[in-house]
Amino acid sequence: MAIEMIVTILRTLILYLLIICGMRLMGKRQVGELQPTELVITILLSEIAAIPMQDNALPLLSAIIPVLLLVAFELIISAASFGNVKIRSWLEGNPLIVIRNGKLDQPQLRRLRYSVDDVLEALREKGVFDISTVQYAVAETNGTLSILLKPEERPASAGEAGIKTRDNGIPCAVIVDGKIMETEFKDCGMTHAKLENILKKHSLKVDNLVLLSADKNGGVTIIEKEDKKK
Amino acid sequence: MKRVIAALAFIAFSVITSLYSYFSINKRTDALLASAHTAANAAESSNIEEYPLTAAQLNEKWEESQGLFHVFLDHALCEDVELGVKQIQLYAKSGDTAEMLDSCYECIAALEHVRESQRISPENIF
Repeated sequence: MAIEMIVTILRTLILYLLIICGMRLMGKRQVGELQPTELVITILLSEIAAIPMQDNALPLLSAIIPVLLLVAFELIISAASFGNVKIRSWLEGNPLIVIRNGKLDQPQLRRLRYSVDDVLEALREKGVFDISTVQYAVAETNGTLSILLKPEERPASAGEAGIKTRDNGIPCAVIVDGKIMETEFKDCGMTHAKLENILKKHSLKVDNLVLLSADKNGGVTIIEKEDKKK
Repeated sequence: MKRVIAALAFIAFSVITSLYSYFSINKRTDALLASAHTAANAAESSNIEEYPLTAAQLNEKWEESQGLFHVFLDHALCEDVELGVKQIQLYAKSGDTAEMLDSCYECIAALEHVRESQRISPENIF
């Protein structure tokens, strides 16, 4: 029994590392928005890895080989679909308009096998409760619904309202959990000298900070560590 | 491009491993079967003096092959063969012809099962 547990631990570790490496190789898209091929691969990977994890009588290679092959196929298919519109269209499908000027495109809904309830639910999830306010709704290839409201229903942008805005760039987390993140410096024009000035100005120590974020126009957000004794 | 190269490397590894396992397991299974048949022939002719020698030869071949078998085959199949080999050794020592013959046939059946499971056939694919 003891040796079986050790073998199970080792096999689980090997398969876990293999799946993590596979998922990393397949890229970030895999985790966020799943296309049909990616969904298939994800389900298959989890199934294939789970069986030899539980059953020590199965050779580990019977899971490793299919996992490697699935990852390889996915990488090749994503490379092929990246470079070829026809392959991409065939594998992932095309976005389809399901609402035009507040009216449901019923033939498209039948084609997609979307019920009216599905569309209404997707609209509500996007904060839209009145279908007549929608100019276009597009069923994306990953199953989500993208919505463009009619012009009179859209919130006015700063440009439309004639408000002048300033580009602060992206705020960067310069210090996280008491550690200086030098890799973030470039995006917000931070330097060690500037950071020291900020710390001096606010009488802070790096070790005492949970977060210090900065933007390229000098805006700073500081969160200090709370005293654990409190 | 790096990912495509990695994908091709994975496919190459999988194909090479599969081909290696296919040919080497078939080769070793044939060798084990030949040894098991030799042991069975000795038992059929009640040639007790040959029992330990044939059993030792079979055991030696099994020891050489079992690592490979366990890596590529279902462990239950391997255990069937291992049990047969150990029983043959035991009965070869005791000189029990009837039991020796039964064990040889069991071992041969287990090895035939291994060989059958390693054939590329519609039964195995589907």
